[in-house]
Amino acid sequence: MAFGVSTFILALYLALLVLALIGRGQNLTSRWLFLLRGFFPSWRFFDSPGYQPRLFVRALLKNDQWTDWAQFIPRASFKFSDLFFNPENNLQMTEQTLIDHLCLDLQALPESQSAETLVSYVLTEKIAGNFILRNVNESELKAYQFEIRMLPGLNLEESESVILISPIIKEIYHVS
Amino acid sequence: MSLEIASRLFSSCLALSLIIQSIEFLTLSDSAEVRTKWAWSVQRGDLSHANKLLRGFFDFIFCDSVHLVHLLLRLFVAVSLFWGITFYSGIFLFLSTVILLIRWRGAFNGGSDFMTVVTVTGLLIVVITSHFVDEMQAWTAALWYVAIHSVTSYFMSGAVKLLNSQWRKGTVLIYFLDGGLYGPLSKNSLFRKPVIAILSSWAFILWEISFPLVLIDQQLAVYFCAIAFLFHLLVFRFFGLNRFVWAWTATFPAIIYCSGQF
Repeated sequence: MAFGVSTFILALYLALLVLALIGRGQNLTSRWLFLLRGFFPSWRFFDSPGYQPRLFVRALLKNDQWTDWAQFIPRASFKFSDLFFNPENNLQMTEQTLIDHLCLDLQALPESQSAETLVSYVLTEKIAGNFILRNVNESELKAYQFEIRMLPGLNLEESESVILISPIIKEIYHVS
Repeated sequence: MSLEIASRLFSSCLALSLIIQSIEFLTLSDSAEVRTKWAWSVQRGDLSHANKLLRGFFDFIFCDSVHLVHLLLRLFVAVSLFWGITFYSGIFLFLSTVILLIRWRGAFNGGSDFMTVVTVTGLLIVVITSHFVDEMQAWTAALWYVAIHSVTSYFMSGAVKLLNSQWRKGTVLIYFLDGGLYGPLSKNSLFRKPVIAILSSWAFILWEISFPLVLIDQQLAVYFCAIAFLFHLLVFRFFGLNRFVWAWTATFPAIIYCSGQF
């Protein structure tokens, strides 16, 4: 009865799956494909313990002293109610994904183009500014700076490297 | 499981998933901090390649008041799924999901968004194909579409782990659990014991790659889906991925319905 429709859908799906698997093995360079990558899921969860891009931020205090670099890492205390309502923590994880995307954008960036023109860079700058405001008293804050480091993950023979260091940023994003 | 029960359960589980997502989005849209950090005025740069009309459309859709109305409407339509699906609700939920993907640069919560796309595409298949074939055939096609994606997700997830020697040795499990939202693991956590880490890793890998077996027998599918639910709860416990629990649970009625039909 429904065999015809099901078979057609199945065949179409398998063809798309093969294309998606080939395509998702590479970084998505097309803007539309990037924005609509939800239609081409790779389902490769927790597959790579290799290099991990991480955001580090430091503050310049009013006394002209720099704080230590602090790592932005999504962390929370466990609550069972998070199972039904977890917006803040999901947002933190989205922000870590943004750092991953900034890293990919930087790798694909032509030499003639500044990182500051990237959407992912501008959003990261805002997240870094917000992060530092949570760690440093605003009245003591003069400016801040962020960098993206590649942490080696389980590649113990590799070393940590810095792939981006921002200029010193004096504009603090206030939340009204 | 009859087609009617499967389609009802699918719609209801999907409703629950979409309601949770919509309430979370509504909460975030109300936050001044989020509006500052994730300002559309910056993100619209992602659409610099699009034509002026389309950019104008998204500027309109993502202005605060329209975005709020969109999310409220999405919540309302998600609730209506408990009573069934209409042509307009199916189309709306599909388009609304695409719009939210663009708002969050392709995904807000990775895999759970991707599975949500799969399930709302299932709704789209129902409302469109039921214009050409009878409703039973439309639902059959939709449930098969969702079931195959869901089964594939488990299989692929297990396969990539199987191909990784560090997963096979159990070291990756500890590494990822330490990096989880609710991490790091305590110093005396059971997972730090190499034997436990190896056994757990192999249990996940073997269970995931054997998932396509559910299509052989309905009883087997029920067991696998029950284990899958516990698995997602475990993932939530360590990584805080609550949306994954509900997005995948919505696919279980489709898996159980499609199993044992060969």
